Amino acid sequence: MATRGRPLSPHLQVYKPQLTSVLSIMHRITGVALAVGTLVLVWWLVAAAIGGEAYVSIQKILSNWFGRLLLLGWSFALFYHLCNGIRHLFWDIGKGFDLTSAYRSGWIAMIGAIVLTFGVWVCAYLSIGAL
Amino acid sequence: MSLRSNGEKFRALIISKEGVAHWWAQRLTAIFLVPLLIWLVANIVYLFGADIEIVRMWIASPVNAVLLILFNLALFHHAQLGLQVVIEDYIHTSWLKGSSIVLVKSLAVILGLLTLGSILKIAILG
Repeated sequence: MATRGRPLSPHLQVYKPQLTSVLSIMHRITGVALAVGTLVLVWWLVAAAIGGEAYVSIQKILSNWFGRLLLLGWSFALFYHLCNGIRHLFWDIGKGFDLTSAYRSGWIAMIGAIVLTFGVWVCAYLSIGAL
Repeated sequence: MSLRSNGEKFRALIISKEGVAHWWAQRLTAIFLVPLLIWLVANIVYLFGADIEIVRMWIASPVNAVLLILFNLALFHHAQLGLQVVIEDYIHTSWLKGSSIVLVKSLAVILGLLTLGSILKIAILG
């Protein structure tokens, strides 16, 4: 029996992208990105524990444009993964499986993530008096 | 009458039980993370741009320290469970799959302990 070279699931390239499938793969991508982002969280906490130069250097990195861009990306990834994760939890208890609900909750998760990201950055800049 | 041998039945049972525990752990940590994340994001917004003394005072408060430890435990457990599924789905070379999972799980333990140590140091030693 030939078992080599068989296509293995998941083989996404044979499907036309739809909202539901795009949001599904985004859940994984944001999850992996957030796992990488935990390195910065650990760095920040360790630097706070060490103090002095260590904290100044991470504060500098996170406040330049590249650091801010990363934080912006991670905050969106976080809110998206959070909103879509709640969507998954509803599916886990058997709610919202029909197509209409799946599309509606998908849009809610996506728009919710964008609104939360925007809101949190406005609040952050307001808290330092930069807006 | 089942066509499965006892060995096969046993194997299926072990594998499925592992899957169930994994599934539950991923959901439970997810549910824990929802309120903890909302709490943390709200506090990070408040701490945004703050200097180290304020950050340390915030971490050193007993409630914050405990919530931050709970958050990190749930976070790293959830992250390594999720990464394990991603690795299992996309890496098909057996040795690479196994070693990637071991690496991810080890990193989660190390990083989790680093956050635990840092929080306790700030909370207890100042």
